[in-house]
Amino acid sequence: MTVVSLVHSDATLIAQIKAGNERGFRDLVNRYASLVYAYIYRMTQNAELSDDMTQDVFLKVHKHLHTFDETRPFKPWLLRIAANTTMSALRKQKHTVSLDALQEETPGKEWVADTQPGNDPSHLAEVRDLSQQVLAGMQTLAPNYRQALLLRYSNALSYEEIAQTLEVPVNTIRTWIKRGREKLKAHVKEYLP
Amino acid sequence: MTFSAPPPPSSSPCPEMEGLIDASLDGLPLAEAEQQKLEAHRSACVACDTYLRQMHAVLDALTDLPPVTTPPDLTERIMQRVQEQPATLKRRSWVPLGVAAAVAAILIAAPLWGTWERSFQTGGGTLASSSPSEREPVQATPSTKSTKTPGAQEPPARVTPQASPPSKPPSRKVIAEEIEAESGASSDLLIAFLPLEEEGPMSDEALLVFEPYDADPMSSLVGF
Repeated sequence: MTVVSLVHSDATLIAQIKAGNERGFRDLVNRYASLVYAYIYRMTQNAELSDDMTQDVFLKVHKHLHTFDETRPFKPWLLRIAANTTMSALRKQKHTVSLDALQEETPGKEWVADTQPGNDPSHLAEVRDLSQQVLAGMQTLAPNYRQALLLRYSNALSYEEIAQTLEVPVNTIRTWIKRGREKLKAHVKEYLP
Repeated sequence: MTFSAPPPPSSSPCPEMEGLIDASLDGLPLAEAEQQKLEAHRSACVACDTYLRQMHAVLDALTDLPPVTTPPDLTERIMQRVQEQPATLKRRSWVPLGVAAAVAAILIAAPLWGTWERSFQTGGGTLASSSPSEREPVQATPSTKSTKTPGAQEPPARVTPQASPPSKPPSRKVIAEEIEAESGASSDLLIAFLPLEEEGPMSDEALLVFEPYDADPMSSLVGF
């Protein structure tokens, strides 16, 4: 028995949704809900807020999808909505997070599973300390630096895609990323090898 | 965590290498000659080598952040809200309009009822004086239009002049034009708030229910 797996491209899926296939929108949500949630969570470090805002993002996507040109990449467009929604919420909430709260929300087993080189306990501890400090340091950055770094290094967007996502010139993105990583490095300098 | 020796200074790379180092950190492909130049510089410059090594460690940590656990029922809740969206939008768009229209109607109609009432009660002539004393409701004989049982406890009723009752109520158009002359409001708009002529003038009971003129029109908006 041959199992044929049909995984539609974003463009095909969006064309189907525009044609009235609501099931297609569920597929789109299944495909991208985790990405949006993770992005917002890493910006806010607040699970409840991230949950609400992820729902808001997809409501906006559903409302405005008919205006989206499916010949263009969907992910930057989606992340633009997520970024704008996040920035609006951050402006309202002036959200801050303590390092203690951050450590409580990062279970140790995930860190062990993610560390690659060997079973050296001291190396695992180093990686864990550095990752924790990087996460905490991200919360100390200005939101525009934080957004640019997350989009570049966690979501693997190009500079041009980040510029489109955040609707600023590419050179501004270069500046934000450069300054952001310098500040981040300064924040974690005691934990660097 | 402790180190056997403090790390060498690494606050900034050599200015002449900044372009190549940024390109390396950005993950941009370097030409072979550029790559060789960078490697040669790193082997000779501890500061630049440390800077690059440490910065790569930071960015590697940022790239490999621990996974964020998405709530398991998030998709279902999103789809539920999406399915509710048209109804929600409809409510959101029409309810405020309806409330606004009702409030506007009350604000416009409330003074007009009182004005029309006085105009009608004085025989349909020019608008009556609006001095407070004349607006006070007084006890009076029951109106001929009252349908209440004689002898029953009557609420205070408005004065209905018995000596010169209007033989024929003024038309809505006449009343509206009089109000327009007094207030400057459009008679075309005012006429919509006046009762239909076939219904006759409003009963005393109806006027008591409305009590429009003396009441503070804003008091009805307290709940909004």
